[in-house]
Amino acid sequence: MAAIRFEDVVKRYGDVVALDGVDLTVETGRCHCLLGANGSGKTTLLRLLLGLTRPTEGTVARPAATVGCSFQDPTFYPDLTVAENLDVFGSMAPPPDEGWRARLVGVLGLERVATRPARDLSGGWQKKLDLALAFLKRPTIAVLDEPLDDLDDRSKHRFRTFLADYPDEDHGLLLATHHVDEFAATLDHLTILDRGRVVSDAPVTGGPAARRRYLDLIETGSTSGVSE
Amino acid sequence: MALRSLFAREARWVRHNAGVLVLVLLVLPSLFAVSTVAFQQVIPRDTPIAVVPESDVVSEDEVDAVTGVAAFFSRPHDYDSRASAERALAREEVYALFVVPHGLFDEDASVTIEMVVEEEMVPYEQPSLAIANILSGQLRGTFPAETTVERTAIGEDRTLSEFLVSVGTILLTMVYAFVYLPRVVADEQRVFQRIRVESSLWRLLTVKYAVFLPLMLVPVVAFQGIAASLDFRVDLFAPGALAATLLTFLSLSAIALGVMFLTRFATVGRMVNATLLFGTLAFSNLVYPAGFFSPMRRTVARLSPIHYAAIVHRGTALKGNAAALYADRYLLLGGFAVGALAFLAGSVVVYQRRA
Repeated sequence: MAAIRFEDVVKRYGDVVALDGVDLTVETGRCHCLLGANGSGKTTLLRLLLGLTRPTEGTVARPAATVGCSFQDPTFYPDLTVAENLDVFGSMAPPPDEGWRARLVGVLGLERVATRPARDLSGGWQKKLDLALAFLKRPTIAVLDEPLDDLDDRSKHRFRTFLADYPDEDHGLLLATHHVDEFAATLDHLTILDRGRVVSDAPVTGGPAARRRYLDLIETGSTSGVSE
Repeated sequence: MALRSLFAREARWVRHNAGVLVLVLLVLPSLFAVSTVAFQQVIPRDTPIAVVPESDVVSEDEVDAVTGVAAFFSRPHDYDSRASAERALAREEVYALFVVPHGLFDEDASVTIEMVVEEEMVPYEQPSLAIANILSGQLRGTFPAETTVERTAIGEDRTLSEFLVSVGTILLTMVYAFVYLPRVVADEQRVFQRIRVESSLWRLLTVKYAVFLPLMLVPVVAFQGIAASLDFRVDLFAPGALAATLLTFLSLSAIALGVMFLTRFATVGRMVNATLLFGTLAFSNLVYPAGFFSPMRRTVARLSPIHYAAIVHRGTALKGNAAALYADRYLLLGGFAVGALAFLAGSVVVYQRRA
């Protein structure tokens, strides 16, 4: 089911065109991966999707969809404890039930650091808190920017399993990453951005196919080598 | 070689921070220098005073004559009645009033010009004594009648410490507004993106004010507690005084936060706020009456809403005057607060658009 739709979206910052005529649909029930080199427009696309910036031209429609987000730089109240951060953001956008919050905390192992001020956490734990906040209200679309960065291998494994279970009729994922292999088992739709344009947007089955498309783009340096 | 590299780094730092450096090293010291120029004399010579006839029999020539003499050491304004002049005194539109008696031009008469000042206007006490003495000497032989000047202090005697408690409340409020609240909000900047997704910056700011406006009562409690323990006769919880304190905090903090949002919480924003704080402190004549300093500075002070905040705070907390006496001043402060909030709102819109 279409949750968020970009229609002919252009975003300019002064003379710089960050996105150029992007048409894209983010749907529930799937794990949608956004790939692209640095400066390809991924972050701008995510910011538009989250409502943090407006398109210069075109529309971003988000009918009735809620979004949760995990940023590349973890975002939370540094002076509050982990549990207090979950309380504060949980009260802004409540979890569907107490069990959901407990499940998140369990998956990410946050009970161990629940009473510690967030600013005192290591990078990995800060990322886990950020991820927990992204999923806290069980959003229609969870938007994750490099979600596995800073996580140890065991945490990555547990969280990937959680991600694989997340998409259903009412929920979906949008991941922005450079490490497409890490989501091989989860991934079922891939969009590749290059210099602000969508050069590939199609379903895929598994990481190898996705990686091949991405490598095609990197090696040829243009859209010509990308197969749909 | 390493030294050369480090110097090169410093050169680049200077280039990237040119704006901040201009502000810190050029604008700020210039402001200090300008403010020192404003301290021109120890005894004020440009203080606004009222000249009012004692009764209907006083001629226009007599009023004009006293006005002319008073112009040597003050800036006189004519008032029709003593009541209106005393009202102006309470509102610090003037700092003394001269009551002109009939008979100044009568050779056989012996007349007394009454100089009325307020006891609570403590910094003006000594200057007004000096002015009364000087004037007594100057008037000898000026008019045909034998003329003396009698100084009358109305209101209740206050100490300089009591006077400063009222001023200190406004000063501290300014520091909270320009330094503390912007710092608290800046510390939370890293969470703004999530706040914007889950809620909004407007709600965040609304909540900040809902929390910080009542919190501003805490320093007032501290001031009042200390004042009470020292037997100071000052009521910082008088509704009019509280309103002045809170309107000052609301308007100045809105400006300070607006500056922070416009500068995207960069160091230059803090420096701008420090400059604004210093400028407001230096040019609002919070402690001394307008007229202690240069005419230019008096004009600037009379343009500053915070000058009036200090006046109404003194009037209600120290003099015990009714807040209604300053109704127009509260309107001014309210309007200033609305304008400052509009500036804050505009800067948040710009901040979000640039994001």
